[in-house]
Amino acid sequence: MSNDFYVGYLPLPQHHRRFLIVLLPVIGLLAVLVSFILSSQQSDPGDGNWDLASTTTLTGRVTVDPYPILSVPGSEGAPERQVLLITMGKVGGDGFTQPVAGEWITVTGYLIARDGRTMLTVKHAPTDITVAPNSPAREPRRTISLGRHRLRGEIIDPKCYFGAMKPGEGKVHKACATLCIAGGIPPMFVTRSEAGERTYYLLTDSEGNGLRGDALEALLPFVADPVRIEGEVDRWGDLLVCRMDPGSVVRE
Amino acid sequence: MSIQYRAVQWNRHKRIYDLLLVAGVVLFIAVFMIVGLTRWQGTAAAHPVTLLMRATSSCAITMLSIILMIGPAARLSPRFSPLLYNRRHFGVTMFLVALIHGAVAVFWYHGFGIVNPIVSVFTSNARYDSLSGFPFQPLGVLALAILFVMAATSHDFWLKNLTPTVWKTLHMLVYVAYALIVMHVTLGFLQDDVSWVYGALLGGTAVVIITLHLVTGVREWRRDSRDEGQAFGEGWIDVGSVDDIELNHAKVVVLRGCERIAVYRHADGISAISNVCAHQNGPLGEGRIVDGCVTCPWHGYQYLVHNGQSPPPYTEKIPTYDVRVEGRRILVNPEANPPGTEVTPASIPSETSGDRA
Ligand code: HEM
Ligand code: FES
Repeated sequence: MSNDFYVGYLPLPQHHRRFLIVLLPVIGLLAVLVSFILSSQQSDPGDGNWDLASTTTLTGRVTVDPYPILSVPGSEGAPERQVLLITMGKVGGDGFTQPVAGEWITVTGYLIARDGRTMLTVKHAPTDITVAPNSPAREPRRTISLGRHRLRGEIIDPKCYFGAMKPGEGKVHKACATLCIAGGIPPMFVTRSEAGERTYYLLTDSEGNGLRGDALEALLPFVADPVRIEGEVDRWGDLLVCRMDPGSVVRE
Repeated sequence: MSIQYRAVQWNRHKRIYDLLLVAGVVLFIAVFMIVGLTRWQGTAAAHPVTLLMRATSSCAITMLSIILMIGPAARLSPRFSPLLYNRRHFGVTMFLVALIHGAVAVFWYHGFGIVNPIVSVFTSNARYDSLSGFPFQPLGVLALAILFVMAATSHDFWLKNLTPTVWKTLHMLVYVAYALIVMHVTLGFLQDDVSWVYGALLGGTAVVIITLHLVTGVREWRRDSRDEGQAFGEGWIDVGSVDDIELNHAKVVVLRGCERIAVYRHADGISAISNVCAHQNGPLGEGRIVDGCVTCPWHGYQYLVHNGQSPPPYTEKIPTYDVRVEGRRILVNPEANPPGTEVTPASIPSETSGDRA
């Protein structure tokens, strides 16, 4: 009669019990399988790293134009290291570097590094910054012009891309990258060779000024999209800089 | 069922159901995290917050897909009905898991900036005029808002106060939420350079869900057109033979092309009641007589077969229909009686054996 009819508050009929004993483990196994597949198929998050466990102290000349950068002399003939200075959160380093602009400083922070490119996150400005003695003579920035180039790739916010967020690129990360760049993190450009080798360029306007205000607004909609840019590429020490017109970015 | 509302009317099945549900969620997220954390290690590791965001989103969409399959599966075979019984807890749990995903996404991708995180979700990517660049996150917010309203109104208190019709319509929004989530993933995660497996799983699941709904829809449509009552003289409709109906079972018949009724055969003869359960519109004709009461196959609400009233202390009432038997034919008056009206069951003539069914 009704012994095959399931009612939630009555004992489970045999017929249903036998079925559930098979069905429930099958659903459980399928769920584990789906979870395993979804997790194991994720793309490589990259080898960027934000070392929040230990601090790094660097000494060099700080400039704020185009962006806050610490120029650290290269050891033994290596090119001068250009370390972008930022702070915690999705904001740039303009605020805390202004008072020491042009000075020879020692600064402590957390290093973000990927593919040899570095940034320093200064958490406790100004206490973590001291104007250092034995300042070498000020020299103009040594710039090597590499000519006009057309680059294809992605506008990135280097903080996330180099390791603060892993992964910190592409469509899923577009809103976050836009927020970071709008907050003052210097925009960079990454290209990828056929072999997968990445090259990074710091972006400035055509005159070499940092992108701020309207120039930055013009760039923001293109952040994290596949794009093409054209500009004059310079080398400053270990850093490539692309001087470009932010209104001329083309989506691929 | 009663006029008093308790947070949950617990019973053994609900407890086991919820236990398995929570165990499933924990297992899913644990497997996802462990695989993610062991696959890329050291400086190559993915960030655990990103992994958590993805583990919870993957778990939530898997749960939602299962929820959407349970309905049609239970209509195709009553053997799935134990899964249907406590489906609202499945829904609320799924909402909570999706909420973690949404909250982590807002915190992680929109926090720490110069814009209010909630505002940033809508403004940081402003390419509303593009398809491939479309801001997929607001779609997730919209879906989450729908799931929230559904979870918040899932209790029988709301069911009663909103009326089952409004409630049911509200809960049909789950399909809108599902569509929004499919778009959220397609225009978001799938736009990046990711494994083909994701698109295949998302598309494959959607196809299974749609097919299941189509199959049940067609089946019911066929049954309705087959079991349509035929006019029999003035004011009566012939709904079939008593021999078509097994004892303590019902036959679902369509009257005048629209209303469905359940024609029950029971110890005292034949009775006809509305097919629509007063709880959540469950199909009463697919139920059984248990302890002398028509029992809904969905959550077990009961009605006395001769008056459509839930036995005391419960107070639900459904419409009844006048019925008589001519020879072996069952005749029903298509004018419904007000809910809870007593109708004497039509007795079945005893000259022939009625147990051919
Ligand atoms: C407040 C609402 C929501 C926000 C802000 C949001 C945000 C996001 C973000 C940022 C991503 C990309 C994450 C990444 O891969 O790095 C994502 C992906 C995803 N979301 Fe949502 N989401 C929301 C609601 C939902 C809801 C309700 C669901 C339904 C289950 C859902 C399901 C998914 C899925 C399956 C993915 C792809 C896997 C992943 O990348 O995590 N999301 N969402
Ligand atoms: S619909 Fe819930 S018991 Fe009938």
